[in-house]
Amino acid sequence: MQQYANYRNTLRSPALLYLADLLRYRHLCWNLVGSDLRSRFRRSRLGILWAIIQPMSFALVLAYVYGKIFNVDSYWTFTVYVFSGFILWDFFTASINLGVDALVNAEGYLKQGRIPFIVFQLRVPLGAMVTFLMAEMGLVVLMLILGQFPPVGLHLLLVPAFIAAMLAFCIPLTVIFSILGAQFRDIKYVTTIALQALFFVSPVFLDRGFIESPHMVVLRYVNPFVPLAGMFRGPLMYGEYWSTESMILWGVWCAALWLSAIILSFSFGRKIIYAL
Amino acid sequence: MSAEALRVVASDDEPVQSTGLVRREVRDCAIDVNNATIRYPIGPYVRGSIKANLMRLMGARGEKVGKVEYVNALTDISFKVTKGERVGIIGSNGSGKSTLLRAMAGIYPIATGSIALSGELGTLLEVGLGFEAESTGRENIYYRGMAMGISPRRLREAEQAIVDFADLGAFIDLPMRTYSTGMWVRLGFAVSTHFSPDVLLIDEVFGAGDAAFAQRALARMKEIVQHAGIVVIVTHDLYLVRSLCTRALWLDRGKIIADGPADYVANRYENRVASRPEAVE
Repeated sequence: MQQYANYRNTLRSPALLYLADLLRYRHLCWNLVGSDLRSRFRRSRLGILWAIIQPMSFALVLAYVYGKIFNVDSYWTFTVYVFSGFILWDFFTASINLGVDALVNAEGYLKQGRIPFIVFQLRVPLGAMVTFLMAEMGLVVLMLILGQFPPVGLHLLLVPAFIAAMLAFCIPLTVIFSILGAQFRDIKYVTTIALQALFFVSPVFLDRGFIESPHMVVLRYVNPFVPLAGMFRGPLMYGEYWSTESMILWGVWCAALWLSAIILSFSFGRKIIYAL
Repeated sequence: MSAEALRVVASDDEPVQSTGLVRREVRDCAIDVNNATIRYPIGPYVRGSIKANLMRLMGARGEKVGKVEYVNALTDISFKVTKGERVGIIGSNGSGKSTLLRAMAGIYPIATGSIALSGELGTLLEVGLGFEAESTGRENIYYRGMAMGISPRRLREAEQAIVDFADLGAFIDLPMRTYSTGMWVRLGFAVSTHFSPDVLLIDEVFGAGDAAFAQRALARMKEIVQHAGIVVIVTHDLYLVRSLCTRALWLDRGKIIADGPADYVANRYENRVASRPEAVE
């Protein structure tokens, strides 16, 4: 329970107070992530295995169709490529698609007590991360079976580091969309359309050679999924370190997202509660 | 918990029976509301229209673009509550009673002024909300408890007592989407009232399940109200105010009309209702 509260700075709690609040409610955040996962796979016999089966089967079908269209050399290499693209795309889009409703769905909690918004904003990317980790394990197993796993080396340290990099990207993304989603209910529909369009210019199934070709340079710079996919696939699938270009692009995107998230959070403050 | 039941809480002089409430020493507590004003946005802000905002970006003016408008839900409210006080907040519908209570709980941000509160805070606002429908009742005990800022360790200790109090039988291990509305309220009430706070904020009275449960809820309510350091209750029931509260605040259109001994304020309010029934419901 609340020990002491002073609402003098109701709209702009000092950062330290905010962190203390987050610390007090960390159990709630983590348990709600667990609740989301359990709810998603509850009453299904295969449970969380669906986190692997679903994108894998989708990848198998899509790789077949697009493999024919693009005339790829190896169906299985392409399947692994598409599978890796899908699970990362799911992580990325969940942060936005589920993010828009993060605060709206938390109304019941937020109107009963002074719980920091960030608890519900973190719930989304953390949940997406767990699903992603499950799927990533499936990807590694598939690569081992197909004998496509790259030689072991220091670059593999970048595989867990990527999770941190992805969270650093997705957390502010969810914060931004949760605020916009609560404030402007139309956002949900706009993002659905925008993400559908982005999908077709993202290296989910588009070959990385195509993305990296000189005439695609603009796409590489404006589509945040490009550096993310590069940083994910590089160490895990090709035995490469992160490229300087990817790291710079990721850094710029993260800086822009965090800045926007902080500005939005501070300018709206707890006033968002009136829009719920 | 019906209004009638709460009246019994207020009037009954019998010694309080323990209902399993986790009691502890009440610490120093206080509420200090100082010139608090709440501006409640109405219109496009609440509806959240992108169109209105885009139009404004493009330089459109006038009513069509839906300018954000505000009403003052509370204007310049100041009062202090000290340990031991039982405060009733009365007033007509839309006078700002619930808004004030939520501002005191830190839920609604204030535009100007300040609200300071010390002591452990407990609220009984919409207890039937804020559950995960796909999770079981037992799991939701933890979520609700953690949302109150209670550690998982304390919740593990309290789990069985809460389950017993809610008395939902086998339903406690079923997803809450299978529950009836009454069952949601029962579980919410059981968790929300299990831990005795220093400062207790109660919004209106609420229905809490069948007759058998109402009896238990009544006893629990009695215990928690008697044990809390400060109780602030928003209600339309003047009998409750007179019998339970030591002090009353009368709000009208977001302003304090009267603040004083419960009987005195309740009488004044009642006289106003009698003389101008159209102005005050």
